[in-house]
Amino acid sequence: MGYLLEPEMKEGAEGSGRTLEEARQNAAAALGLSVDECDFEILEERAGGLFSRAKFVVRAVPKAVEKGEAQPAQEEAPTESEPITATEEDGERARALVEEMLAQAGFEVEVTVESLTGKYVNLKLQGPDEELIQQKKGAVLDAIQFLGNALYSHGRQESARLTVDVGAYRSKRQQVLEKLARDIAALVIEKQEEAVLDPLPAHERRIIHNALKDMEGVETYSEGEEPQRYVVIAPKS
Amino acid sequence: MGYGEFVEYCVKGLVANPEAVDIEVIEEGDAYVVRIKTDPEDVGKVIGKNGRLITAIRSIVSAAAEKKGEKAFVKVLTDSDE
Repeated sequence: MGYLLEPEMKEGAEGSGRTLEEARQNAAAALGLSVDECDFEILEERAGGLFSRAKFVVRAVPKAVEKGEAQPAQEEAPTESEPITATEEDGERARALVEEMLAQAGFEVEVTVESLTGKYVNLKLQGPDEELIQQKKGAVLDAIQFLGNALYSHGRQESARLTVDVGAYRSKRQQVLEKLARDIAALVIEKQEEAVLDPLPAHERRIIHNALKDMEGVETYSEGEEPQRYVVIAPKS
Repeated sequence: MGYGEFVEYCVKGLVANPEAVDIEVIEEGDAYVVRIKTDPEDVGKVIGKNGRLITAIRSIVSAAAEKKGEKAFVKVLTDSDE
């Protein structure tokens, strides 16, 4: 994944370091520019385990005057338009925050920025305590994500949002939820009766809405109060 | 590294008045109890809407305790606990 720039931009300079910030500073310095004056593309991102060092290699290019349509596609329900786009600074700040928080709790995991999509900084946890964090149907992972977001946005009017994944928990969960959504939608169409799902956290409800938004014959909406808010899949005439 | 440090990090990052935050860890039987004291104005910020923040803090603390084979609980003290 990386932070995609326009594909034709291949000039620039490379820099490496043990943190993303260090790599970016080195790459920018190679061009004689400050970090603020450059855009970066991540060429190599190695998380570094407990016994190996993290390594980052980035390519810096002078910032384009007009950036055009370099924004990655948003995975949003169409109703929630959001002008904020997460920057690499947001990514690093979020990563450092979650890492510090988990280190305080005594968890042995490395935190890396996996990608930036729209207003989301997508973080990934890797390490010996992965399984501990996945237990209880992802409740600990959801707690980390929720608390991370609360701490991250504290004192800010509007800010980027964090998602936190561990191992392949969320991507597997996404597949499960998408299949569930399609299976239930098929039943809803067949019986012409609405179906009420179990309560789900906001990011998982969004997966259901997105999975069915282009499907003919059904519509989805959410009802109830957090944390008991749930999705309804209803026949659409 | 411990329950108190983690809770302190989170609570101080959530409240308006971090100076007034006081975290105490006591042993009750075979369990650790983390007691959170804040500015009365900040109690709601630690608990969160529908208790979601304190629930998240508790769920991480209990996973951290499970890792060490211990038990740990988190309590938010209000004026009536004084």
